Amino acid sequence: MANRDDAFVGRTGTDAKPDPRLHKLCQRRLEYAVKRNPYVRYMLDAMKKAGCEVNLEKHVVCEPCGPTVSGGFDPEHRQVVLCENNIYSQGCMNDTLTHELVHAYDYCRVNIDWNNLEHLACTEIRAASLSGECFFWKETFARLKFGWKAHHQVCARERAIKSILCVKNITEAEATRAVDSVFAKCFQDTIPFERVPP
Amino acid sequence: MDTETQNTDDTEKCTQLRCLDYMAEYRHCISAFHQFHQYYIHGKFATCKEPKERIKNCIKWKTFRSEEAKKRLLNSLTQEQKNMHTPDPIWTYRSSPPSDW
Repeated sequence: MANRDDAFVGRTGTDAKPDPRLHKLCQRRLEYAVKRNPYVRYMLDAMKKAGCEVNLEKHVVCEPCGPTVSGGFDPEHRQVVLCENNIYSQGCMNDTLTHELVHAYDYCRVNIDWNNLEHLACTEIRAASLSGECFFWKETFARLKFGWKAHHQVCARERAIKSILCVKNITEAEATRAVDSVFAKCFQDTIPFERVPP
Repeated sequence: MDTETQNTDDTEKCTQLRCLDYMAEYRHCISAFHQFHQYYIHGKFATCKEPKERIKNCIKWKTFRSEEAKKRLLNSLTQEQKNMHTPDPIWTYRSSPPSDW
């Protein structure tokens, strides 16, 4: 079973293999996302309005990680971690950055207890729903998961469960139970977006 | 934000928006892209009743200066803001941003 130490090896120092080429590529993709991607820009603006302006040098870092994750939010150091060895395209960078900025936004506006499974499930549901990971064309053509009627909810639920399992040493049944218990409330909470973005 | 400032902001927002903006919103709502998106997210199509009512109230207020229409419009906009949040959150909100950010 995975846990946080295995996922973020760049932070824990175990088995991290930094590659300068990948690091530079990650930085370049990050800059492009911040300048051009509308979701990232909207989230950065929302963070600023919430009183937590994102300083790219301080709050966003590119690091090597374990094999299972493409990014994370480290609440201890208040940093968005981008996995330079796992982010494979600009699209992936855009999604990952938006996803982690949703976590950062939640850190900024609510008293989130990262050890509380329900809080973790809630922030993961929101991030999966609002980051663009579950867009129709991504699910249908990239992951070949066909579905139309309310499929976004199915996707958000699945990805939230997966995300929890990446960072918490618990069983799938426990993660599923936590996600299902808060799904309805957390899916409805789309702030800072007015509705789930297209 | 205290209620007075919020109310003034909403009134200003109400006076600044043109009825053409509400019509554009309605056109977007009935478009195929939006309807498909709604079906994909929620499993049902959007009725677009709210945007339609907003156009009616906007025209009534701008042409006949109907205070009632203006109030209905304001309520509709406030309700949309409220719908972004869940009424029964599982967590408590911070009163100010974290000092250690």
